Amino acid sequence: MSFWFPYGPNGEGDPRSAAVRRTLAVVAVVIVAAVCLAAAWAVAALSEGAGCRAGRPDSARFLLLTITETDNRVLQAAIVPGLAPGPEVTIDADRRRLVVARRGLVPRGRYRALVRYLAEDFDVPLGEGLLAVRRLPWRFDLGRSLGLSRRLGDLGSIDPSKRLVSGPLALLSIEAAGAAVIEHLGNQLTLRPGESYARLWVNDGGTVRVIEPGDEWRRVMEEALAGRVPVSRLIVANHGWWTQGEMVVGDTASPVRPCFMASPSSGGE
Amino acid sequence: MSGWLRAFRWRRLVSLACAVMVALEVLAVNGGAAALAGSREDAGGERTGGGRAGGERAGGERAGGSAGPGGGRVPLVYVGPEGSGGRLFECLRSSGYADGRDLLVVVGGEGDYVLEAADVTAAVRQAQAADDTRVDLIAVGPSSLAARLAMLVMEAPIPVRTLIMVAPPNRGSFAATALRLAAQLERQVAFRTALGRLPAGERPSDPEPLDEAAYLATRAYSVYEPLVARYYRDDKFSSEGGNYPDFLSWLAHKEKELFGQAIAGAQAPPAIDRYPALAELARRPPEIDESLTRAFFEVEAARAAEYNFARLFQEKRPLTLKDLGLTEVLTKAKSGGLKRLVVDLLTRLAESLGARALAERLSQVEGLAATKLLDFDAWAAPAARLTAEEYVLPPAGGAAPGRGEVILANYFLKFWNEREAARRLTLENLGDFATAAGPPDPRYVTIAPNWPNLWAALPALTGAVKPLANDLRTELRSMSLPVRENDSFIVVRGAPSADPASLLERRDVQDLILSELGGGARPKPVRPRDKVPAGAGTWKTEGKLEAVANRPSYLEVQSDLLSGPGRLVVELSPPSRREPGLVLAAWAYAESDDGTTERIELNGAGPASPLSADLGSFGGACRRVLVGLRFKAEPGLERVLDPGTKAPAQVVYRITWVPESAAGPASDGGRGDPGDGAPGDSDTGGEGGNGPGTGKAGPPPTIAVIRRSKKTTHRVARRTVHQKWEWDFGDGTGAEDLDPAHTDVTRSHTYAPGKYTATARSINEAGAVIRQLTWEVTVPEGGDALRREFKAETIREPRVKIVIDGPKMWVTGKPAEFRVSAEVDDPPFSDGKTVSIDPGPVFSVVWARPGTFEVAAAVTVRLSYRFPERSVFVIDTYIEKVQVQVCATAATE
Repeated sequence: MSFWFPYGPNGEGDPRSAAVRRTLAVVAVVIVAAVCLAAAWAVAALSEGAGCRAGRPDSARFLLLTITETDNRVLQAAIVPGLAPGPEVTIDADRRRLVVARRGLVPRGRYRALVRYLAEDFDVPLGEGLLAVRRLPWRFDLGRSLGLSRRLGDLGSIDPSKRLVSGPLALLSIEAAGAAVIEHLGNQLTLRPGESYARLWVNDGGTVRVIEPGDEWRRVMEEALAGRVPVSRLIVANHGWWTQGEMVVGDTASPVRPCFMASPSSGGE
Repeated sequence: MSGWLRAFRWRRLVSLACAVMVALEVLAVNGGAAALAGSREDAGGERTGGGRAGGERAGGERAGGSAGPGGGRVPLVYVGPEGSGGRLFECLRSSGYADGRDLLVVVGGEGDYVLEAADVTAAVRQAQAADDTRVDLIAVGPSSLAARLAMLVMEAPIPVRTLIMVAPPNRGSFAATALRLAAQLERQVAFRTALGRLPAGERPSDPEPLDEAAYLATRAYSVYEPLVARYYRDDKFSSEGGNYPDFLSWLAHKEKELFGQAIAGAQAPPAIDRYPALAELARRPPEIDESLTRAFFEVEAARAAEYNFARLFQEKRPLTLKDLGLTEVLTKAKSGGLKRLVVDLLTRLAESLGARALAERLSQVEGLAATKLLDFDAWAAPAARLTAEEYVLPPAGGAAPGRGEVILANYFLKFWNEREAARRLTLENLGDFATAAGPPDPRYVTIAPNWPNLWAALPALTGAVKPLANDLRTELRSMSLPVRENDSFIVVRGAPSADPASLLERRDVQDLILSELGGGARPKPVRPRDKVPAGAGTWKTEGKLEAVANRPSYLEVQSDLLSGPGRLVVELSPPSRREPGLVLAAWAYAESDDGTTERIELNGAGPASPLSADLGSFGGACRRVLVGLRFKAEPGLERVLDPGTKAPAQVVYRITWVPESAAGPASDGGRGDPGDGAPGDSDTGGEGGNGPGTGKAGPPPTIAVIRRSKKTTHRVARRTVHQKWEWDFGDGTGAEDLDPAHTDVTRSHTYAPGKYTATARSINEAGAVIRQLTWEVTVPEGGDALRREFKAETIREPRVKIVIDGPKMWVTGKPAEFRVSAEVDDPPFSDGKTVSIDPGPVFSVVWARPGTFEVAAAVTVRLSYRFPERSVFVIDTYIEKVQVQVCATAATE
């Protein structure tokens, strides 16, 4: 039996050549898929406007959401303020711009929503991303690993176990008026543009409690900070409809950073 | 079967052997290349950036240097630290500079920039001797600040042709700032702890700081720590916050008054009154900018408060070298000498941080003797110590001058950058080159060392995943000015340290300086494709020229190719592949025999479109045309090309020369604008024969218009006018006359007995001096006060009346003719003028679609004013516009 004709005259099959053919077929499919994807990206790239605009300069719109996690005990060392790399994505509310440090951060093509995710500890970014939501419902694991050990180097400097946020966060639907229906820890709610959802986790003597906004929040938070107790805050905010033309590539350093303080390179070039 | 198997085995073995041989071959080639690259690196690195060093060389001679327009050498003033520049001076002397005649040295580097500026000014005046020759300046290290101060601030700005700054100070590269701050933060924790133990009534809230750490601790404790606590409670961990990326942003919005006073608007200008030398040279002290550098320390105090909050209240441990991941980095450092440098720096940091134990461990990692490492005074690495002192550790101790140096350096860097930016032309704000003030702006050449070791050693601090090659962007941002078209910024690789003196010892840097003194990289001469006799007909040429971002490249069209009236059209095509964020900028200088230089911009429809311009007619009085190009950052992007990592790009140029008839005044004929408008516009003006390539004068040009944005003239309105008089009566009093209409004034002043020198300066709209008049006044002792009158005159702008005669309503598809006339009077002191009109005294416009369109014409007036002490040349351009309502035709013809 030959390779190309795995079946003999009596219909018997050659298992070895069939396996090879299957393998080659899988490889071919993967290659074709990769080529198609690359072509799609290339087309999207070609259609991007030149200049400092990061997104396509057309009216393609998306809902901008931010998921921000703030911790206080993940970093074990006091990082010198201003030394740590700043976030690569910032929202310039004054000028209504989404500023990204590198064009490569912007997802290609169209998307229904864009989620700016940021986890930080005393203004030091622990994890960050600009995530495209193309299909709904969209789910995000808040407790996902940020690869802190790999990125921040020395294990002695970080304690990932002090990140207390938990639960999947789901974006269920987007209404025409820009309201986002989300679900978290069994709660389903609608965030209209400008509204936010917040939760506070506190490690109270080994037990992690979840606090909702209200009178208890401030008391628990202040006690936790004063007592050096691990606490994590989550805020999910709906910033309404934005267009891709409002994304720009630029300096994400704080706009009030004095010019005589050299700005750190963001991401290296 | 067995034979087949044996054969198969042999085939396999042979194939394997071939594969191994190929792999070895590839490795050998790459390894050889790597070895070559490594050896070049070890030999001292290569100079990056475009252009050639050393100018033209003949044999073993070192050519270069600067011959002035009259053939004599342009005087050179060198200002730098004592003992610096030895080898450079030898190089200059061998190039023909003579000490004391055209090479003067000013010893500076003491940190008192104002005094040093006064010394520089005096040296320049001495070098100028009797005439108004411009001089070249070489300023080394911190003396660059003094040089810039002298050029911009002193009452009579010194005329500089080229300023070469060697390793000028910046505000501190990021890593250096980081190290410095890191060192200070831990140090101030001790002060802060001590403050906390004091009884409430004894805690100073705003002391006169003797030590920077004490200042930070005090301000952090008394002002910023409570605010940091609020920031975290009200924003970072509240149920509604999260709006501000950092504490300073929050402060700026929530504590506007404090932020404005303490940080944005902190005031404590240098004590100018302690510089008597300045008072002798300048009747008035320089303007004091309102934003000072005490704010620098206020920001650091705010940072200290954040750090204290995390460190003391959240009990995070102090930052250690291990946190920086330095151990791993150190083992990857390339050579032993560099390793020791890095180790020394970091060990000093560890010492400052109070982590002596870590320093000892570090020395064990390196295998160096612990005692030698920790014995800093005996450390025989002056470069490391200099860098450590300058960049890593702040001026310590109670001596105010130490801290003052840092304050002054930052003050000047911030302040003077802004002032220079406002007064100098930039790539974003270009216009006619020649002004009534005389010489055009000086050319700045910055030669900066690339000291990679610090960046390589601190990847964690710089925030990069891998070590950065350099921090060029930070250096440029903080050190230099907005990039101008003639400026150059060159990074010298392989420098052993940031010490500028070490740069001057390098042969390649010396050659580079000579080359820049000689005008920089030589322009590429343009040669017509076909050899034609001079002045006989059209010629064309095309070729390629390299363009980079850190310096300009030039094409040169000599006068023998421009003889007789004619038009020069230049077109430049950007490379098909260009780095994102960069666009090609191009311009042209037309140098006339009368010494004026006109600047013309080349425009394109978009970043990827060709740039072109009809440079106009030259009437035979043009000495040469220089076409310059370089890459610049797109608007809104603060990007700087790293010349070491990005290859230059090739730009294709096409130049066409079309002779014209010489009838009438030097008027611009047709104007073709292939670069204007979007695709679809058929704006290839010149139909009818006057455009490029036709070779003969014909009917007036026709401009085809499809879009409203289409311009009928690309000239920009620009006028050089008298703006104000600055009077100094010589007795400590002065006055200003801010009325631009007062071009002929008489001012009186009463003098007490004594001798005085009164001056009046006419300042133009750009802040440059048009004319300076002086009078000597003597009032005898014992006599009465004397009232003296001074009459001062300056240029008066000509009265220009422009009329565009043409239809106000028209139809599509048919050419509409416009005639432009200009009446220009002769202002006082003028002794010659030429008037040119663009697109021409007669031109036609064809509209492809209906609408309301603007038709504009530019009238350029070249005027010469003759005053007793000098002549002043002015080029003013006036734009006149009319609106035309274009309707669609009812039927086609």
